[in-house]
Amino acid sequence: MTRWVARMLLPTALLLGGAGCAEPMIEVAKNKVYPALVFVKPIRETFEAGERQRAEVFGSGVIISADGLVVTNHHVAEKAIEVNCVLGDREQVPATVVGLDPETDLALLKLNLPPGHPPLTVARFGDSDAVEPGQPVLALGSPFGFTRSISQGIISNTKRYIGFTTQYQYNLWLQTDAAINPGNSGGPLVNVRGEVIGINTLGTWAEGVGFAIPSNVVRDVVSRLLDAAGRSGRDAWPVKVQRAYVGLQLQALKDFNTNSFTDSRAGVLVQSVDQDSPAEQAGVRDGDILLAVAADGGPGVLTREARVDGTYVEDLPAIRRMLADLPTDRPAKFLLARRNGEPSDAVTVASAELTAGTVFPSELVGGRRIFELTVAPITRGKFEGEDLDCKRWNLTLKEITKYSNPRLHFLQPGGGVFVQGVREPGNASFAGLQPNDIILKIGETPVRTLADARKAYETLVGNDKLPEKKVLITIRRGAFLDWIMLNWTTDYLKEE
Amino acid sequence: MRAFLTALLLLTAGSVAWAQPMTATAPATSPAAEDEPAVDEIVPEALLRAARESFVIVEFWYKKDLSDAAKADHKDWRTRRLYSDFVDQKRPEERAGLVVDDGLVLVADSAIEDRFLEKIVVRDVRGRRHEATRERLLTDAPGVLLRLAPPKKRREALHPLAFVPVEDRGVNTLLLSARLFQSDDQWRIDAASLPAAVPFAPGKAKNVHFGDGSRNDPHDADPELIADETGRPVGVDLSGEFDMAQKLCAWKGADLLAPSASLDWKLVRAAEDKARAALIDCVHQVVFQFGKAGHEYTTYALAVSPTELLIPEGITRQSAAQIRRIFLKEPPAAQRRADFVGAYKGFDAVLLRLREGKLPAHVELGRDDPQRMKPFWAATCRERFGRKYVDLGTARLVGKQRGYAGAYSWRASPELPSGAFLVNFQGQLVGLYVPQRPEDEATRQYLRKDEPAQRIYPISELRDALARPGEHMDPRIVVKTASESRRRAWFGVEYSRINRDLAEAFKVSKPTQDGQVGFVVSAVYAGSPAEKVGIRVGDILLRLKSETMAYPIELLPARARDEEYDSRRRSAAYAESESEEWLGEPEPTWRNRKNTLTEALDAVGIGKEVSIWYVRPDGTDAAAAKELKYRIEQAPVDQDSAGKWQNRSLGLTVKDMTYEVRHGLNLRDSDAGVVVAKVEDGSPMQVARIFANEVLTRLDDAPLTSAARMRELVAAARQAGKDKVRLTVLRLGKTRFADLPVAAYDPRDDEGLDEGEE
Repeated sequence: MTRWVARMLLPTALLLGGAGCAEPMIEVAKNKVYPALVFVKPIRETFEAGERQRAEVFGSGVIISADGLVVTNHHVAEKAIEVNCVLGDREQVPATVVGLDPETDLALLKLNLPPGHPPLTVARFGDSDAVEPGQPVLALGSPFGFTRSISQGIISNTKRYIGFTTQYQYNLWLQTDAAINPGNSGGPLVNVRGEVIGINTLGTWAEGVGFAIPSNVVRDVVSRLLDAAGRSGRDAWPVKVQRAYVGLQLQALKDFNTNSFTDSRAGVLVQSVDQDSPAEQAGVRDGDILLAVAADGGPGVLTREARVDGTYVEDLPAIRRMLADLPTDRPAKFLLARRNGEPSDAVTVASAELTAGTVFPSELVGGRRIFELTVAPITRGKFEGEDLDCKRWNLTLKEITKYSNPRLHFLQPGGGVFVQGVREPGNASFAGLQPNDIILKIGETPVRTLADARKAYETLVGNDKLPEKKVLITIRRGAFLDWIMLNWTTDYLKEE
Repeated sequence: MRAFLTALLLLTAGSVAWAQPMTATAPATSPAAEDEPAVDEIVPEALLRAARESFVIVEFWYKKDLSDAAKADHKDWRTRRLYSDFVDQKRPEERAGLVVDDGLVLVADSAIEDRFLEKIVVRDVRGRRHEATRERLLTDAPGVLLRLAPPKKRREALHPLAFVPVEDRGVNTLLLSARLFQSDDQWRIDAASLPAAVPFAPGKAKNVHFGDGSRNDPHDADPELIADETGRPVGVDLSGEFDMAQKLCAWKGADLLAPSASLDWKLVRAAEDKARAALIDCVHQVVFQFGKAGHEYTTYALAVSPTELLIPEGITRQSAAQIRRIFLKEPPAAQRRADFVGAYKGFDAVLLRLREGKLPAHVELGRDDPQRMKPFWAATCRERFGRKYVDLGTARLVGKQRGYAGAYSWRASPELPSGAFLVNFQGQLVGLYVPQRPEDEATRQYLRKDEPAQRIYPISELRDALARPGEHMDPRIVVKTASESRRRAWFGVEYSRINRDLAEAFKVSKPTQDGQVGFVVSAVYAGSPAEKVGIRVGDILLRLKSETMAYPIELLPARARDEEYDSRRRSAAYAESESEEWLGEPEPTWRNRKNTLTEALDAVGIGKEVSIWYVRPDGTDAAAAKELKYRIEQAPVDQDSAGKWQNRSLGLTVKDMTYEVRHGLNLRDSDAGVVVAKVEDGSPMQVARIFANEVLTRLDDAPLTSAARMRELVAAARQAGKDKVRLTVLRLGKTRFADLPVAAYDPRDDEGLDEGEE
C-alpha cells in the first residue's frame, strides 16, 4: 500500500488554542469528527508479483453525508471486491465503491446501512485555502490497523509541491508533522474548529513528514464523482472523474529545483508536448510559453481570467487542473509566445494576438512573438490499464497506458501489453520474463490488447491436448526484440 | 633386419663386474641370420673395454652468482633450474664424458656460464676424482673439452681413446656406438650397432647417415663413443645423428681434436665480454605510453641502423592503436622520441625509428646465417645494477623442425629464450628467435588458441625486412587517433542468444546444433552491411570465417553470456524507473556495440571478406544454413568512438549522437542532439539536474548537432557575456528545460577525445 512516499491514512488531529491548552481542541475534534471516522477494511484483489492476490487491507475514511457517503483514498479502495467499514459505534457495515479517482488518490464509498438506520454524524469540511502554516492539527485514523487513533501536530506547509508527473499532478499538498503511518490513509486531518481540512494520504520513511490532500480538492473531486454517479446508474459504479487531455507537460518559469529561470514574466513554460496529442497536432512546441487558455466561446475569450501563471512549481497543479477542465466538445484557444524565427511551421496567428498583445506586452514575455492556436482537447483515457492474471504461467500482464506507463508507451508507441509482475518461483520467471517486458506475440498470436493476451493464454492453457506445455513469447525489452520460451509443465501453485 | 643388442657394464666405485652380453636379439632361427655376423662378433670386447676405460662421469658443481642482482623471476629457466635442481639440492649435475686425449675430456656443451660454476670434477670408473676446467669449445659439434688437472701419481692418469680412421664402405659401413647412462643408482654402458641410412632423395646417395634415434631429448648431447665393426674407436657423436661426410656435425676423432675444430675457452670468454659491451651500447630502454591515461610499458630495443630500433616482441592492434608516445629512456633524462614504424606481419617484432638525430651505435648485420653446430650467442636484454645489460648464452643449431604452413626452421640447443637476438662470435646480428605470426593471427588470439610457435629467423630472412620495412609490416597494426582506435567493425545487427528451447521453437535444432550455436538477430541497423545483404530480424547467425582462417569462429551463446547479463540488469532498472516519479539517471535504451560479433569481426579485420553462415527459420524442419559473403566494413562512429567534449568546470561530458543511440531512442538521422555521457557530482550540470544517458537537443535556440558544436556554443555564450544557456533535455521521448550556468566555464578545462598522438 505504499510507494516511494508511503501513502497513508491520517487520523485527524485536533489542536486547541495555543501551547499548553491542547485538551479543549482535542475535545472539539473528538466531538465533531471522531464520530464520523470510519475504519475501512477492503478485501482487495491485486495483480502483483506475477499472480492475482487477495488480501484485506486497512485504511481510514470519513463520513460526509448522513446517508453514508464516505471519503477515503483511492489506494485504499482500489481493486476492492468487498469493503467493510467499522463505524464509531463499532457497528460494521458493508460499503459499495461509488467512485474512484486515481489521479488525486481519492475514493467515494457508500455505506449500505440497514433500513431505518439513524442518520450518521457527518464531518464538516473546512476551507483548506485558509489554512496557515503552524496551525495545530490532528490526524485521525487507524495506523497499522490500530483503530480510532489520534495523533497531533501542526501544519508544516500548506502548498507543498511534490513533483509527481504521472499521477497526483492536480493538487498541492498540506504537509504536517502529525504522525501518519500506513492505515492512516483516507482519514481526516482536522483543524482546531473540528473541520476536516485534508485527507491524509502520504507518509514518508522520515518521521514528522506526512501529506494530506487539501479539503477543497476533496470537495471538488467528491462533487464530480457524485455528479457522475448520479448521472449513471448504480451498475456503472465505481464512476470516474472525466478530464480533458491536451498533451502538455509544464515547467515553472522559475524552477529552483534545477536552477532554471525562463525570461518571461507571464505564463508557463511548455516543457514537452506528447506525441500525437491534440496540442502537438495544433502546433504547440516545447519551449513555448503558454499565456492563456479558454474554451472557445467566441471572440475575446482570452480574458484576464484565462491567463495562466506558472511562475513557480506550486502554480503548476492549478494550470494542469485548468487544462483538464477544458470542455472536450469544442476547441479551446491557447495563447502562446514563441521566440521569433523559432517556429518554422505555419502557426495560426489570430487577430487575438492584437487584442491579447495589449494584455501581454512583448517585453513581458522576453520579446517573444505572441500567437494563438486552436486546440481540440480530447477526453483523457483511463489512467491505469487492466490487469490479467496468467495463473498457470505465474505471470500478470497489464495494459500500457500513456498516463501511467509513459516510458513503456514511448518504447511501444500505440500501447500494448506488458509484464506487470512474475511470481518467484514461477514459470514466467524461470523462462526469463521480467517486469516491464512488452509482450508482442504469444506463439503465433500477435498481442496488441489485453484481450488478445487473454485469448491466447486461455486457448493454450485450456488445451489439454497440447503435446508440450510451452509457447514461444516474443517480447520487446528496452528497444530490442527478444524471444522467450515459456514452459508451464510445472504447476508452482501446487508445489506448497 | 636390424641387428641390435645391448651389453651392460656396471660401473660402481667399489667393484666392476661384467655382465653377460644380452642376447635379446634376432633368434637364431631367423631366415636372415645366416647372412649376418654373429652377436659375439658385433660387440667385440675391445669396444666395451675401451668404453669402460674412457667414459667418465663429469660433475658440474654450481653456485649462486652473488654478483648478479637480477630478481629470481627475471632469471631465465636455465638459471632457475641450476638453482633449484642443483644448488638447492647440494648435488652436482652429472654428465657423461669421454677421455679423448691425454688429460682431455670431451663433454656436452651445456652452455652454462662460468659465473655459475663452482668446480668441475671428473670421476673415473674406479671412482677416482680429478679436478677439471673448461679449455676449448668445439665449433662443429656441441661439445666442450675439459682439461684435467695433472694426476698426482702417474698411474692415476686416465687412458685416452686411441682413435683410428674410419673406413667408408658406403651403405655397407657398420658402426657401433657405446654410451654411458644412468639408471636408478647405477651408471651403465650399453652398446648398439648403428645401421647406415641413405637419404630418401633422387641421385646417388654417397653420404651415409647414422643415427639410432635413441636420444629422446633433443638437448641431450652426452657423447657416445663410435667404433668400427671391430670395436676400435673412430669418433664421438654428440648429436644423435651424424654422417660420413661430417656435414651434420664433426664426430671423427681426429677431426674433433684438430686445433682448428675448437676455440680456446678463454678467448671465447674475452670475445663474449667484448661483444656484450658493444651490444649494450646498441641496446636502448624504450618506453611506450598508451591511451589518454598514459599507461606505460618499458622494454628493450636493439639499434639495427643509425635511426632504427628493433624490438623482438609483438604488439596487438588494440595496443598499437593507442600508442601516444614512444621515447628512449636514456641517462641522463634526455628523452629521445621515436616513431612507430610498424609490426612485422610474419613474426613478432616491432620496428621504431628515431625522430631526430642518430643513435650512438648500432649492431652490424651478419653476412651469413648461423650454421649447424656452430656456436653463437642468444642475446637478451635486462636491467642489471641499475643499468641496461645483455645476457649472452651460447647455443647451436642442432636440427630442423616443421612449423606453420609446413615450413622447416632451425631448432637450437639449448632452447633459446623468447625474444632473443642471435649474435655470432664477431658480435653481428645473425637472427631472431620470436613467435611466428600466421596470417590469421588476430582471430587465433581471439579464439585463444594455443600459443603461437616460436622459431628462429636467420638474418637471411630478416635482412629484407629490416631494409624495406614497409613491405613487411602488418598494415592493420598502426597508431591511430584516440577516437579512431575505438572504431570497430560491424555487420550491423543486435542479437539475442539462442538456446535449446528457442532452437526447437524455430525448428532449427540441426543448424544450431541443438541451440548451442547462434545469435538470433533482434535488430538490423539501417544502412548496415546486414541490411544490404538482406539479413532480417529473426535470422540466426551461426559462424563466420575468412579464407585465411583455419577454423571458423562459431557464434556461441555461451561466449556472449556477459552481454545477456547486461541486458538483464538494464531491464531490472527499467522496472525501478517505471515506478520512479523522480528524475534520476535513466538506463540507456541503446546497447553497447562492443559485443561478441563485433569483436570477432574486428579480429578478422576490416576490409577482409568473410563468409557468414546463417539460417532463416521457415517454420519447417528443412531450414538449412546458408552462406553469405561480405567485406567487413568499419562501423559508423558509435558511443565508444563518438566525438566528445568534456569540461571539468561545468562537470559535463557529452558525445556526438551515434547510430545506435538513434535506434534506441527512435530518433531520425536528422534529429539533433548530443548524449550526456557523464555528469560530475557537485557540478553545474548536476545542479541543473541533468543526468547521464539523457540527450541534449538544443542550446538556447541552436540545435546541438555535435559535441564540438556544443563547445563552440558554450564558448560563444561565455564570450558574449551570458551567464547561462538554456538546454533542452530529451529523455525517453519527453523534453524539459534546464539552465546551465556558463560563468563557470573555463576553456582550459576542455578535453576532447581527439588530442591524438603528440
